[in-house]
Amino acid sequence: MDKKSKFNTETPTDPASTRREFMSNVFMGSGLVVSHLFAAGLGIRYLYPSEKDAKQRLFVGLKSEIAPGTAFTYQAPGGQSINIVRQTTGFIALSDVCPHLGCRVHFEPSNGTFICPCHDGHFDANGSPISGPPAEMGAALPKYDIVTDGDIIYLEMVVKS
Amino acid sequence: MTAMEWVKSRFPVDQQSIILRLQEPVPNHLKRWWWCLGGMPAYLFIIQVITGVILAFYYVPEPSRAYESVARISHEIPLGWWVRSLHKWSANLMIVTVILHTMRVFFTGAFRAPRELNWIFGALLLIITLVFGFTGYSLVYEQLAYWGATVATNLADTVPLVGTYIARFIRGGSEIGPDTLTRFFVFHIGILPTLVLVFLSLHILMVRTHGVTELHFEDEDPKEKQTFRFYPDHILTELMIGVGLLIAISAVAVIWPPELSEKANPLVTPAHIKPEWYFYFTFRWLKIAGLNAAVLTLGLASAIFVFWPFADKALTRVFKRDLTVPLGIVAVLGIFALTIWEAMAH
Amino acid sequence: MSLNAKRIIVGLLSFLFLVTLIIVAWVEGLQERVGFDPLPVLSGDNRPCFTCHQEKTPGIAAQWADGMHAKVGVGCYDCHLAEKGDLDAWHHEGKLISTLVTPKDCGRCHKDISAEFQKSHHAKAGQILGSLDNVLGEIVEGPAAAHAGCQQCHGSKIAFQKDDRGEIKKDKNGKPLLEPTTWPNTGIGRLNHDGSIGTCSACHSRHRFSIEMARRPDNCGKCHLGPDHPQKEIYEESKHGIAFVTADQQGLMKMSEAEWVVGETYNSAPTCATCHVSATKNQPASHNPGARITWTLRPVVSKRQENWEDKKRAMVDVCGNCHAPDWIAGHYTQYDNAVNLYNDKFAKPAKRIMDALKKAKLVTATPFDDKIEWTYFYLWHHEGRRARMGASMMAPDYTQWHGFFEVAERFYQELIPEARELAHNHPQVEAVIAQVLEMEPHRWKKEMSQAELERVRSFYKQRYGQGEGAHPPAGTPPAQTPPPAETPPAAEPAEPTPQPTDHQPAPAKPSEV
Repeated sequence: MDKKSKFNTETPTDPASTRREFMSNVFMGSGLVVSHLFAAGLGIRYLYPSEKDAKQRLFVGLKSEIAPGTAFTYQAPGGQSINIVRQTTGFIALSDVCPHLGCRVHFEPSNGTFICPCHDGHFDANGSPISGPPAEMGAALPKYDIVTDGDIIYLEMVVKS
Repeated sequence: MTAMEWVKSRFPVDQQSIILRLQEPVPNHLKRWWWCLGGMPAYLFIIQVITGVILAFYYVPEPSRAYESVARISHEIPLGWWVRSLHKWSANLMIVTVILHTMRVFFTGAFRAPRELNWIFGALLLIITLVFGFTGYSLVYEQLAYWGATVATNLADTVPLVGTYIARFIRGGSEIGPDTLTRFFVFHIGILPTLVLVFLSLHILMVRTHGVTELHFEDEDPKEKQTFRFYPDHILTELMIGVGLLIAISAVAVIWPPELSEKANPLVTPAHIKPEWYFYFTFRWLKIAGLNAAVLTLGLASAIFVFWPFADKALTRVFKRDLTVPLGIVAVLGIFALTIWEAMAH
Repeated sequence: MSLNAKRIIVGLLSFLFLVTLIIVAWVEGLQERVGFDPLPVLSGDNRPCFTCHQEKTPGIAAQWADGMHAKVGVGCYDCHLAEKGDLDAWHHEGKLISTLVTPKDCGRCHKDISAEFQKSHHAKAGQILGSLDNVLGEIVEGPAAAHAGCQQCHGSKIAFQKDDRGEIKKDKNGKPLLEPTTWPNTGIGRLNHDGSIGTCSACHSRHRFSIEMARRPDNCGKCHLGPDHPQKEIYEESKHGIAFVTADQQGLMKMSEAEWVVGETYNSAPTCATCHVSATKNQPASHNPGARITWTLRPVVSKRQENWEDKKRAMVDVCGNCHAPDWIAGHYTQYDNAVNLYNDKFAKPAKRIMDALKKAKLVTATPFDDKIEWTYFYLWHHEGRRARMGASMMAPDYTQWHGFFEVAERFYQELIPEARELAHNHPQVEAVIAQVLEMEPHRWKKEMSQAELERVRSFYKQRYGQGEGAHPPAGTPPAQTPPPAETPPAAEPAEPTPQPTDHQPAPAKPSEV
């Protein structure tokens, strides 16, 4: 009955009770805000047009037909040129557009680097900048996803007709 | 301070008076969970509005694309399965809680003078909720939904005098056709929500003006204060229930996401057609009583249900005793039995 | 409950709600997105080919765009590319290409499948130069019949047009000219210029390469039909084929699914592919359709396949998705019995007689110049196969009326009388024929037991109210047969009259044994 009578009392005034009330309010408030914000986030995820689903696999070539340390250029359906490099560890797909001013880089098989002719930018075989303006900017060549299935190499990318 | 004053002069609402109004005392019996059923449908209605609105972003109310758009929501749109599942489960729970709330009000006699009008609003809200469920189910455009709609509109057809016209109006033609789905859609997202808002406002307004019926129980201490504050005490109780509901429907939504059965085929009636569970009793009654008798009895029963406070008064005058509880028990058991019967039938 | 307790409960519930939402997000991560239809992809080298061929050969271009290859960007050049030195390579719009795409080309990506197929009996269908069928097509009928007929199923030997010096002729664009009698050709055992054998497009028709098409019975029906191997008609007559038609109309076959596993993906009916090619829960799909068959049903005398017990187990595994072990075992008993009956009663004796005739030089070494050689060919190559194949795939009419009935007729009514005629005054050969007819299964011709005859008579009496339906062999007067007056008179002229020559063996020479 003691508990029940508390129900009907007015707001407590002693400092300990005030602090307890404040803490419980903060706890409740944060819980409500965080959970509902998360729910709202899920709602936005639902409503926001998703492009991830439009990714599809594109056949680019066969492992056995690409020598290690070499690269070849794949013309993607969207018009992008993508360099596929065979490294010792696997394959990597890099855009051929220099992040500096948009010139086309090319692969140099002798030392396994990419070179941008416009301002002498150099990238290593992973697309990381070595020297020239790209290194100053700290900008790497954009990467694409590669998937292999047995001997077959696929690119995974968004395709727009 | 000047900013506050600027706001206050443009938005002249006195917060103190709102809080004061919210702090109005409510009777102690509301501390019992059983008396919190009325808030739950309102809460669920808000969830329905939110999930319904965002479902409408992808749903296409057109016979040739409706099913595909639901399939897209279920399988393609990120989290679409969840939103659809929430909408479905929350709808089912809303029907359950509305029925429970109605039963509570009925058996405690809270519909009596001067609250007859509020019973009527509540009864209409229950009927609207059922129509909500029916139209929503039809929008999925599954085989069962389609044939459910066919049976229901043909049922309306048999109502004496006006039946044909009502059925024709609902269907948008003499047969289920391209306009039927559009009509169901407009009912579901436009007319019914508006009606709910209107009746719900009236319902709450009535509760506020009359106050709730006060009830006393034996285990109460008569020396204790007879009331407690609506805010924050009762609001917090409702909040507990609300978040509990959110957890419950989110959980069932993940565990039992709604499936998508075969697409509606106007040429093939499925072997076993069944409505949603809340129409089982009407469906079974239809099988027992025959078409015309069932439609007439159901119509009559609905009318008695809506105008029960007056029926109650008349009955008491005639039989010289209160028949609410025995009649209520008979009705509930009858409906329950018919529902179970239909559920057991394959 | 105090207000603080309530607040804490609301807070706790909120965090529980958050946990639920996190589970929702996690479940979402597990969802597989279905219904996304990939676009046809034209990448790099394929774009110019496609653009031009969309004008020139719009059908091919559209078929490719509808197919699965298009969806992953495998385009014209990926299959038609040629290497320097390839016999059929030519420069076309700046690219070295070849017209023919052989299993070697398909095997660049589909390595294991191509290898398995090239080891199959299917891939060897083109190697029939020494067969009687080839003599028939190329010589008895004529080359044009072989090119447009035989080789369109069996496969041609790809050849090029040659000039006087033996060089491959080329057109003005430098395109090597293929010998038109050998190309176009999609025969399954094609002998390709690059050393590979077979052709994938025999079953996987270009340029759409629809997996569903390959799984449909019609696909096999390009070759497996007709008087000598009517497997498709046999299938259609069987319960399996009947079930398929309805299941297919009701959309239960799911033949376009990537993974098509009987007992999982579909249950309603098998197609040819189900039993002979496609996957079950226990075995992968095989591109060797012979991997699950127990008998050779094509030669004069059927033999067990190599490792037939293993192959039978593989087939029984397929059957087991629908049938209980007893049922399967019972079917195999009926099937084996039918094959043995054909072998022992008709094939081996007929072969023995033919060998004796050849040995005695009563039949020349040249095939098909003697009437009896045609008779014999009909017996095993057409009728005998129908009987055996009908029994193998549960088609009663093909087993009996199109099968054993015709085998028996050919044997008793044509082969034996013709052999007798040839063997006249050749006691050794006559003795062989007599020995054959002395065999237990043929003894009925001499004397049918009284009981047997009585049974036939009373059956027709009961069933049709007529006297006898079967006439006893002349010379064995039927006991208790009603006087001839009771047989229907002129009203039933169709009633066969006994022909003594047919039923009565020529005066039997005393057996030498």
